[in-house]
Amino acid sequence: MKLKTWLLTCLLVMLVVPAAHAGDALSVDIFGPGQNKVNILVLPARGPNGPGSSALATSFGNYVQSDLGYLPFLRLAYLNEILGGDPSKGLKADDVDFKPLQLGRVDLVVTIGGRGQEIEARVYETYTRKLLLGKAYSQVDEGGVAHVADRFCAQLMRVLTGKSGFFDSTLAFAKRVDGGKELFTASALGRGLTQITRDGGFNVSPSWSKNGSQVAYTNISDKGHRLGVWDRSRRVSRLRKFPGNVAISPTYAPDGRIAVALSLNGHADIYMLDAAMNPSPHALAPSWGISVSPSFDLSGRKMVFCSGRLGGPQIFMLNRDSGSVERITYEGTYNTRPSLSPDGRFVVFARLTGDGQRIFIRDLVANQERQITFGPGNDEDPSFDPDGYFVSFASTRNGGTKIYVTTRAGDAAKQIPTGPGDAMAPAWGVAPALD
Amino acid sequence: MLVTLGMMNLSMSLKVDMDKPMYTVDLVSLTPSEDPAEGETGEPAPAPPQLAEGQAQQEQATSASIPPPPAKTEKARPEPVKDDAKAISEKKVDEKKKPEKKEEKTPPQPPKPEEKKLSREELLKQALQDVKKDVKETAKTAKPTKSADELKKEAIAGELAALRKSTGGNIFTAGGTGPGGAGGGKGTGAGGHGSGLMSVYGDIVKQIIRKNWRYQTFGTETNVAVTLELKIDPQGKITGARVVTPSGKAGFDDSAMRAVAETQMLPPPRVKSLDTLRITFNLQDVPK
Repeated sequence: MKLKTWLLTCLLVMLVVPAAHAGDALSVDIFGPGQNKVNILVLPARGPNGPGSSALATSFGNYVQSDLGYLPFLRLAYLNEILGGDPSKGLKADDVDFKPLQLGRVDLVVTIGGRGQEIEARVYETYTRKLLLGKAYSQVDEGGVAHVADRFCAQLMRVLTGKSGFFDSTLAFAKRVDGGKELFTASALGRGLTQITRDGGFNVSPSWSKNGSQVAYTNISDKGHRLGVWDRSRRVSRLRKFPGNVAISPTYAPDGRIAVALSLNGHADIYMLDAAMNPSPHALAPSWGISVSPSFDLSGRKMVFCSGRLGGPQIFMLNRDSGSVERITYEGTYNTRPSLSPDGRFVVFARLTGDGQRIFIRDLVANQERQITFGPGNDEDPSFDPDGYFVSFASTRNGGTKIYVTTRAGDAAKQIPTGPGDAMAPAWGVAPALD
Repeated sequence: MLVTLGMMNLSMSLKVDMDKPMYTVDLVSLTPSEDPAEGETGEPAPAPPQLAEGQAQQEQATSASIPPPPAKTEKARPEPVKDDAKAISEKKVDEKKKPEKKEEKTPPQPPKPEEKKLSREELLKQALQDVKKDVKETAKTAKPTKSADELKKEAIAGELAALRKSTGGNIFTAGGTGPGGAGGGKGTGAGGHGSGLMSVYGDIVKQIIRKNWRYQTFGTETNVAVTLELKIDPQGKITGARVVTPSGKAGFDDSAMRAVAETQMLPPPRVKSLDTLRITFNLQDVPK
């Protein structure tokens, strides 16, 4: 017994002695990073004879730098922020002195090299010197270098965030053409600008089908409202007229059907169309007031829309399982054009304020609302990207109506190049840009 | 007799109402540090760090136009490359170049005593001899009222108490939802330091390190957390850091280590025995 007691004592002493000199410990919790932007530096492109000796690689680097400027979670760093200038002698980790980059608080560094029609690009994490992304492209020419840069940036975005919808999707929007409006498509960076309709009159309110194969829109002409459907594979559009002479804001539901506001009973209500384009016998969320601008989440169970059922236009949400309708907006007297994020958590919409139309976002989970665009002029027609992070909208802030992109966090808006003339009513689709 | 009656009266007048609720109050005592000289210097508390860039960012209404695309964008052109470009692997770089890791390791533990090298039999023999010796000695000196077992128990208890006193070893929490709550901590135990000092220091540490923590929240799950253990010297210099509970996302863990590496120096802890910080970096996609 005594022996056991003594052995137990020895064991306890052996366990405790190593910590005999330990001091106090303090536990601290940090919630959320202090900075939501990661610093990235694109080093000057190197050719066979050193930096700048390959025009193609230099052009590639410029496009990469421009593309990365669209990603609000990255902050572009510049060489003059780095002690001693360019810290690289080559493209690989062994050729880069990471110390000055760490001192300059650069988190990611891009090395670019080119020889003839070949381009190599790598992204390193400066703290660990890890290679995050490395790509080699061959047979690149000056005409295609922008496209190659876009693909590289899409890969980088995927590595950093797991998503790349911004680069992999296409915007459809209306542009003024010959006194009317026609629909165009382009990438979110403005590449591949293509006119897709030539119907005459005014084509407005485009909406992509979920697989990116079709665009539905409203054509307004002296023949009244007609529902247009443009087919990507055949590059043709068809127009269809409905009773009541109204067909406003058609939108594809995730199941491939179109929801559109029709005036079958004297005022606009939202109906689902079947495969033969016949409206359902009953409206979705019917009321005595008008209902327009439906927008669905990815499941198709939630639908937000704009309705004047309580007086002025406000945003409502229909739960398609239960049929219940919930009012979403209470502030302001004129809230229109809602767009629901794919996960059904956020709604962006345009609100008429004392300074003009502005874009607001409502978090349906946190039940909070905030403004994400600030003019000047009017900001309207918001639309979520397929990731539910970027928000495109039309604005008159710089004279004329142009398309801009911001994020749901309200980051600085950037204009999307759409060529000369007014551009409006942007809608995101998952389809890659047209050739 | 009179005194007894007086006490009975007093006890009858002082009724204790056991139904009343009891409150526990954590008094924040901003007592000076152990070193009186240091306390007299009246060192100003470190200024709270500036708001993080992400928080203070105002909405930029101005838009920036980008350079126009090349003039030939609308021309039909052959596809230069396929999307699935060749991936460049640099495994060698990944594996061999990690000089920072060496610096982050915690200081080496003091060498363990050589007694541990004894074999089991030798240890038992030695322990048995020691016990016999102890029993003989205690039998000579001990009072006859206490048994040998009781004496042994007392000896063990005394030894453990002494060890506990020498280690200190309190774990305080600050700025979070851990045991002890946001401002409390696990008591004001052996060291006798107020938890208020720890809490204030924890808030300062939190703000300084958070300012240097950069990570993009987009696309990342919000329930990601990594816990680092930092060793600090009395001057507040971070002498070592290591991941004790990884998040499962190497990039996220690296961002936390980078924030600590950039911080380098913290204010000197007001509690001299504080030499370890356990910092949990939680990711939250908080709308700005």
